[in-house]
Amino acid sequence: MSTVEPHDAARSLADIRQAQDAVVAAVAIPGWYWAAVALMTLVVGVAADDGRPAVVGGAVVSCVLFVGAATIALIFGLLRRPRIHHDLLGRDGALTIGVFVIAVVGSSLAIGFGLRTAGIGRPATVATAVTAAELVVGGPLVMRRLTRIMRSNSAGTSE
Amino acid sequence: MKADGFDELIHAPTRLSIVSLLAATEWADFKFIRDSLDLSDSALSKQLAILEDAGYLQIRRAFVGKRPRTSARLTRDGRSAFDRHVAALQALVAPSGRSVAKR
Repeated sequence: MSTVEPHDAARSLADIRQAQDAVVAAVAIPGWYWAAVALMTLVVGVAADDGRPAVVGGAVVSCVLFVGAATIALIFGLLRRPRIHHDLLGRDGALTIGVFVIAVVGSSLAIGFGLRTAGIGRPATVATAVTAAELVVGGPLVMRRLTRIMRSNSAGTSE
Repeated sequence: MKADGFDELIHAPTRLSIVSLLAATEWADFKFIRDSLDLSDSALSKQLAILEDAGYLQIRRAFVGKRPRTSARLTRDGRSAFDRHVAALQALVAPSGRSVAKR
């Protein structure tokens, strides 16, 4: 039976981390997706303030088609990649996603209805502009945090 | 030096990389494993077969349209063996004073 020296074991642990990093990198949501969703959210907001049925209808249909196509492209991309093990994301990861969704949706609704109640013009445009900014800035930040969480939950990194 | 839980079968470099990658996934596509680890089809098939024979791996063969699609995942035994192996490696490293704590 061969023996394993500490430096060999350390190298093996590094190999384990490298292999698991490949999985973490593969499941990241690309930056273009956040920008695409943000853009279409803003389009719907502007259309909602315009108020003409044809404009609102056209914006909603465009948004559904565009975001739908972007989501399908993303899912097809992700289908070719592995599905991560739930242990990798952990409670912190789930919490991060939940807080982000609640923050984005909550702030959008609060701003939109708040501005409308206050009688300030173009509330939907302002609300969706804030949402778009949150998505463009916050999306990649959330993804970065999730990546950090997944890496810290990788085997070979826990005590 | 060896520690409890050290698994000779998993420790071979190529198999260690395969099992490490699968430990981070529910299911992983054959192509993804092959490309991530820069292995040939035959080398990967051979190692997957060894791990499957040991009961560490479950292989799923399906068709997407007319294309065959092979995926793999660790079994419960495989995941346990991997966890024990990682713990054994960490135990080997720890006395040397090198940190294996969370990054």
